[in-house]
Amino acid sequence: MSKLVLHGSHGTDREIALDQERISIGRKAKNDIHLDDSAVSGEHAVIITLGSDSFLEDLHSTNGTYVNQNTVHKCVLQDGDEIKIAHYKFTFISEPAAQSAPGKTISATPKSQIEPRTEHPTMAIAMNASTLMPELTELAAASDMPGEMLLSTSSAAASEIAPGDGTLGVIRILSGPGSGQVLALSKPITTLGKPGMQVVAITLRDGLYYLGVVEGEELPQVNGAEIKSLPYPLQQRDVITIAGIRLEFTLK
Amino acid sequence: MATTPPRWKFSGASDTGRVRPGNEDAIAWDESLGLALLADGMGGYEGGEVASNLALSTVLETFCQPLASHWREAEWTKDISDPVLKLYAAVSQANQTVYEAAQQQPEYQGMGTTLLAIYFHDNKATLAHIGDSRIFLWRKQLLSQLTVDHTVVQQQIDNGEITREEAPYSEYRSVLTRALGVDPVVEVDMREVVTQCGDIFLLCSDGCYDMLAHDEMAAILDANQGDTHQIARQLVHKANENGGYDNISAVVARVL
Repeated sequence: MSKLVLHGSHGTDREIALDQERISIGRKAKNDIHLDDSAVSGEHAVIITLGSDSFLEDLHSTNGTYVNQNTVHKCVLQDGDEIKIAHYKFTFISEPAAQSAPGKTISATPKSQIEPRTEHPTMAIAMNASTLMPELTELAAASDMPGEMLLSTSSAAASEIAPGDGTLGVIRILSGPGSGQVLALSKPITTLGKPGMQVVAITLRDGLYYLGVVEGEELPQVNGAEIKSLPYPLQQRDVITIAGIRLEFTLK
Repeated sequence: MATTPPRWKFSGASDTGRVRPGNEDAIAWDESLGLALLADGMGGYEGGEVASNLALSTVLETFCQPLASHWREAEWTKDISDPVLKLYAAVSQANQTVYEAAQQQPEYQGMGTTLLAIYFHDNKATLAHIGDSRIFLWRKQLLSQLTVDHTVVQQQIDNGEITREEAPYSEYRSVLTRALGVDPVVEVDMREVVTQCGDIFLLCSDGCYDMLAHDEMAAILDANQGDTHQIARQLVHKANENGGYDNISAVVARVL
């Protein structure tokens, strides 16, 4: 958890843990960090902490908030930043998200507990059962996360799409900054969208393209309507709306 | 052949959250099949997202095909209804597929996934469950949990070693006792629920239900009674607001 160190006037430091999403600073007593000084505004500034990132925002205070001697309105705090409010000085110490949920693991014990029941498993009311099945379906490569807005994992040049093999899907950007750009869906998975907002993945399986979601509260719209199945099998000339940008899918 | 419109409405949302670099959750549904799915993958470099996506696509694909004849040839399946066996067969196939992919490709070794499947048919919902993702039912303003986690913590609770209140602080809270794709066979918890008009079934990954108090979930369901899309969206939004420490996914199914 990140913290602030408030440097006292007599060399005494006080540590303040940024243990809430919102920590307010100001002269009024209701503030989380209460600075009783007439040069401090009633509601002076606020620090918002999300995961490992902390943001400092000045709440239009009279005498301003300074980070490393520059006036700030809103900024991301970096480890070691010196914050100054009136004559109070703080140091921001970044301690990245220890609270991140631990990754899932599988316990080592149960393997021996689960007995293969291929012969006569009983499916009682709980209907627990197991069996063995052959065959393997094709494994699609995992997607890369896109780094920039509306970028795909494919770096294929826009106009150099090889015609012909019958299964090549193409995405054409219809609106927004990249309007007119064309993207060949030649990889098993192509991710598209704006990270932090909405990201989708288009998967190629057995010559068909499927639209799935990676990120975002909203579902992508197809032809202006909510989709009935996910992954959605893309059809010729479908128009997909992702993060407010319209894309057209065509199969060459 | 006239097709009757589905008597259920599905929607969902999946988000990376605010801490994790990638999204290892996967969601899928098909209203015409009556099938909704959620998976939360784990393991290694990209293994988690491969496992969850491969599991879901295999379940969907298998489910679309007629039940392989060998299932009915086995003696033990004689008392099992078609829908239950069909769903079980699809989950079983997904286990096999993920397991073999993990065996064949060194970079995917040890990958696995939780799985939730809900299949609506007639006046019933058939549920299949592996791992620590959960299915909830919102009925008559009450939220109840229909699944029991396959985790070390749940075992400890069952054995009386710890209390439910201590569970969130356990060092074992993310250790699963069962997952899809880690062994050649997997035990699947299955149950059937007789549905009522207006029921809302909620499929959640741990990043969703861990980040939401029971009351917060109930409030979102209450405020958006009929709107599956809004419910999914607001659950993910609220879980993000509360920290978003893990990937967040929710699939919402309403019986019309």
